Amino acid sequence: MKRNIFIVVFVFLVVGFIYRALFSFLPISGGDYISMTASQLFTWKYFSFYVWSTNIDLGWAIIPLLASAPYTFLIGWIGSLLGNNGVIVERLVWWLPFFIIGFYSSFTLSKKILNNQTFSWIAPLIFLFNTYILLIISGGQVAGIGLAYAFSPVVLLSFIFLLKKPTFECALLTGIVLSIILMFDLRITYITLVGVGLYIFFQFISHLKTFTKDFKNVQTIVRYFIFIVVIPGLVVGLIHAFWLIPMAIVRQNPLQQLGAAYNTTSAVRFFSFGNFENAMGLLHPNWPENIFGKTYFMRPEFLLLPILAFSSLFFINKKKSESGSTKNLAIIYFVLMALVGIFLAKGANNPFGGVYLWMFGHIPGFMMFRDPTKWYLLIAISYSMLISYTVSKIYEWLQEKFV
Amino acid sequence: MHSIIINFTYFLYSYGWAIFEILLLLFLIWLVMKVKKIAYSYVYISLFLFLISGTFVIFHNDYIAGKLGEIIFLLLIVSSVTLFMKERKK
Repeated sequence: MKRNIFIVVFVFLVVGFIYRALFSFLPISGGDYISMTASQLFTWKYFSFYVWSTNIDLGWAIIPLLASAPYTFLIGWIGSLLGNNGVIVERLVWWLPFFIIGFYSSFTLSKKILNNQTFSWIAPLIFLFNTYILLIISGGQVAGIGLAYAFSPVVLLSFIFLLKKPTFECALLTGIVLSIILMFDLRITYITLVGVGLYIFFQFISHLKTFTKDFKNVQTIVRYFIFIVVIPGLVVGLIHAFWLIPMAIVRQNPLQQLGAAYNTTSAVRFFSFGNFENAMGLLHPNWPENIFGKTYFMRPEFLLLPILAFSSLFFINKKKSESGSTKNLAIIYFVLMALVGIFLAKGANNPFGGVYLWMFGHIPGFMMFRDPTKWYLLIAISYSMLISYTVSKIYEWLQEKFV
Repeated sequence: MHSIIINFTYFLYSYGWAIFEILLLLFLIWLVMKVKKIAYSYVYISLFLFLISGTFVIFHNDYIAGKLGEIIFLLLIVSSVTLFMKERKK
């Protein structure tokens, strides 16, 4: 109990120090930050679900952006309750949920993987205070990417539970969770689903023998497909029908309309700021000044993160027990997920940058990632799990050795 | 003859490192298939290379550090996949 209180106080102090600007009564600003003025709150309350926005030029269709309409409507409504006080509302609807969800989601995922409450506290520290997310939210993207980022471990966790226990309730819950993250940001949803897909593939390969036995039965195949793909997909489709149906009717790729700056491989080459070593060190290429396009030399201290993360492979349990094996597989899964994240986050840079360019041109949905740093999410989730695991094992080893 | 040498040099300059990496990957896979226990050694080697690349980073030679990082990446991929296959058999 005492230890838990100490940890909570410690985390609160870290948050208080790093995000001290949030504890003032001043409005927050940033490059992509949406200022919460009274008129903005009014617009969100009454015009959230409008497909036509007049805030740029003579107006433009914003069908794909409507995904966030339920949340902006809620913000507008809360704003009117609080007298349209933007300073309070932005802290209440963006910053507070970002910390609470981000903390809880990474902590719970780590606790599920590690089975150790004490060291699971390290995961949120890595997840919420790495250079990638610090620059994302200081650049003003807390509303969309920030909240989706904080929510992504919940999606992974819900799919882990669903695979373990494929029931209707679990599938329904997974669908709702997926709808929430989609409401915040489509790109982060896509990346999280890549992580989920990797997990499903990993589980499929690791239980191949059981699967081949089970899969002779057509009923089992259909059951898995319905619970893992159909029900969550249907729930997401129904909840987001208000913008998905107009998108299907209009039949226009919004990215194609944005022009060459968004959908050409030369744009990807330009936006690939992060090198291989940056991705491996979970170091955002624009750290610390966050000036767009201004990159820096790699910093040696950031190599500590991959060293700690990949050292987890040393601590793989060699005893043949079921719980040990499950944990081992989880650790190897996160190592592979980190490696996939590293390879994609460096974008068109060496090694084999052509692979990313090919994926950009050929894989559906990849066109959303002209800025490859979005893939840092996979590295952040993996490192937060792996580092907490390594630290817990080092602690155990030291205790055995010296106590 | 002169143009062949120039073309070959250009080819090596452009794709030499990529070819080396592919060959290294194949060699690592071959070695790990011969001696299964070597997968752990790959992790050790990769951590050792991390430290060396750290030295290059300190002296701002990011290019070499990055190339070492690529070798680390290959080592980690092969070792984690091998450990996974080993775990699967348990």
